Amino acid sequence: MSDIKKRPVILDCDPGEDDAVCMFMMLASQQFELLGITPVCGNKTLLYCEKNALRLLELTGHTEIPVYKGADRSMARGVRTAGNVHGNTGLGPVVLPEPKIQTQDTYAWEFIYEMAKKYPHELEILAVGPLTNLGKAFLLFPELPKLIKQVVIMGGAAGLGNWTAAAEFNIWADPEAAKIVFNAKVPMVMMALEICFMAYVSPDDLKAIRGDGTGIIANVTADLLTRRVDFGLARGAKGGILCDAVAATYMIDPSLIEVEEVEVDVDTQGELTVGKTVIARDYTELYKIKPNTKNGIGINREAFIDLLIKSVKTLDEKLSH
Amino acid sequence: MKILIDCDTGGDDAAAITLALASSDLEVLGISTCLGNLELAQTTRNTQLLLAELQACVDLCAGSDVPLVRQKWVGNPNGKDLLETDKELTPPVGLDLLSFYHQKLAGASEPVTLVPLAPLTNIAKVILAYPDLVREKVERIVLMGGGIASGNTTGAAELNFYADPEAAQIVFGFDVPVVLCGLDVCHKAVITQEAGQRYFSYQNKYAKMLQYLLKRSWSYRQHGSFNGSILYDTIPVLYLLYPQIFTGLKGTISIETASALCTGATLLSVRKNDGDDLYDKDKQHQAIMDLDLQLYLDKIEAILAKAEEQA
Repeated sequence: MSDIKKRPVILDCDPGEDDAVCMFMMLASQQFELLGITPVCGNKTLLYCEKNALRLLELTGHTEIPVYKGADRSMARGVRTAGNVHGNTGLGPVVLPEPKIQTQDTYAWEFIYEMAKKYPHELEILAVGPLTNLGKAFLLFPELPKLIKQVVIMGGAAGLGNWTAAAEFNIWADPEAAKIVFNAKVPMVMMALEICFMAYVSPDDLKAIRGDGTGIIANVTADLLTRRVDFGLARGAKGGILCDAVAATYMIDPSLIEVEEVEVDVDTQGELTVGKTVIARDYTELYKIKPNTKNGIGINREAFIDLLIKSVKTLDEKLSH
Repeated sequence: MKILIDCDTGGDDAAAITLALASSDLEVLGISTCLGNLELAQTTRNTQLLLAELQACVDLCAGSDVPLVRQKWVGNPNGKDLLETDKELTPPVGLDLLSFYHQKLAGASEPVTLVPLAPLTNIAKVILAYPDLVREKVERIVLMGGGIASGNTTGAAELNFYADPEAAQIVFGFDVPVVLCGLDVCHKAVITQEAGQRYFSYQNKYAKMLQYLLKRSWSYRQHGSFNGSILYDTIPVLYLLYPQIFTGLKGTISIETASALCTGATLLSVRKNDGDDLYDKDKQHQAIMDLDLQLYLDKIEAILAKAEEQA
């Protein structure tokens, strides 16, 4: 493996229960050189998200990966968080000790720009929270977009939102930043709510994830998921969802996900539609679309669950050595 | 079932009217025309041509030629006649839109279903003018328009709502339950040339008209990536007759009117506790999201077969 060049990637996130699982999957994969983590205000305030990122790195034994100073509020709409959707701390029922490692004294957007210059046309960004850090980076460093290979996000919705009728939370939390990112002429990949709902975790999957109950990461992952599976079942679904893990799956094995080429823009004006990801397809009559995004429309769910289980096992095996 | 159709005829409106007239289970009390993809004069003339060719005696009223608030029509100015006929055209009734609807609704002995297939300008005006009468006599509104997960005029909006978003918002903000048959379901109702051949064995006038409309649609219209014809406006008619072949989501529906990017977008709120107070929690509209395509194709044939027996 060591002679194969690793893909340089930055994980931009707001941990967050599903962010934690996303991070596990990225850490377990041998494909990537995870250059750093850039937390952002989102599921919780920045302070919580930052500490959770540090805690999760300590938990997995990856204290060598630096964490940078992210945005503590949206670009133009103040502090917007998901309240208690992810529990009091952002990691649901999982309680981890206060982190010993610390955040670097460099801003996330500066770090992103530095890495893009260091790895021109190679750097990939996996962004699974509000797009504030990335929006700032694109705004402040106009030559940045053309240096980036791709941005893979979890965010948006073709139809029903989860925060308003129109908007998914990550985009609603900073619609201006999202609009900047989608209009930056960077190859975008979007895992929106529709595909996340296809990638549900069933009660049987949950058992398989926990395994024999001796793995630290397996237990944390299963604990993070239990409430979500129960919540899904109570609402008539077949299981729980963990959106950000779907975006990690695209990074690790895009062959598991079917995409359509579409043009995406973000609304920042409407009375009802602020934060809506507007998806224009080839049958749009008023203008000819310029595709800027691969939008996930189908997933091999069984293979996704297998990848999730394999990732958790890999991390636990590394920890036991 | 008594219905009033509002349309901007158009090939798919014509198909919808043809099937409604062919079905003995629907009684078409009247038809009003509206601006739409084509201008009012053309949609009215197309409706006259259709009714003449089908030799149907239905009261026709010419309605609105500009949207409710925006005063600017956004459709195709190069409309042509939908069909040729050697039969004599009947002029519209000598009533304005509001008088026409007042007469039809006040005179109805049982609840009426409105079937709008055009921008909602006319229907919004009727609601604004006679709210009590509409509440009393209109049981529900089953319309073609909008879309939850896609648009076709813009990425966010379907033509009927894009053309008059304020009118649409008035209709969804009123007290009559609406069944929205939008792009979500229409895009799944593709009639391929292969599948449509089954309709060509019938000889009655309704079947002949549907054959003509399908051939016309197959020949000159490619629906983007769709491999066949979509007769959008037939969906509400089929829903009225065979609701069991459709599935949908209940909730509050609102239309965006204030955004350059999203004007005319359809917002469905399915939850009781969305963070946004703009949604009225008690309104129960329904957005049709899917259909059984095979049954849709079968039921169209069933309508034609029954008309053949009665011919």
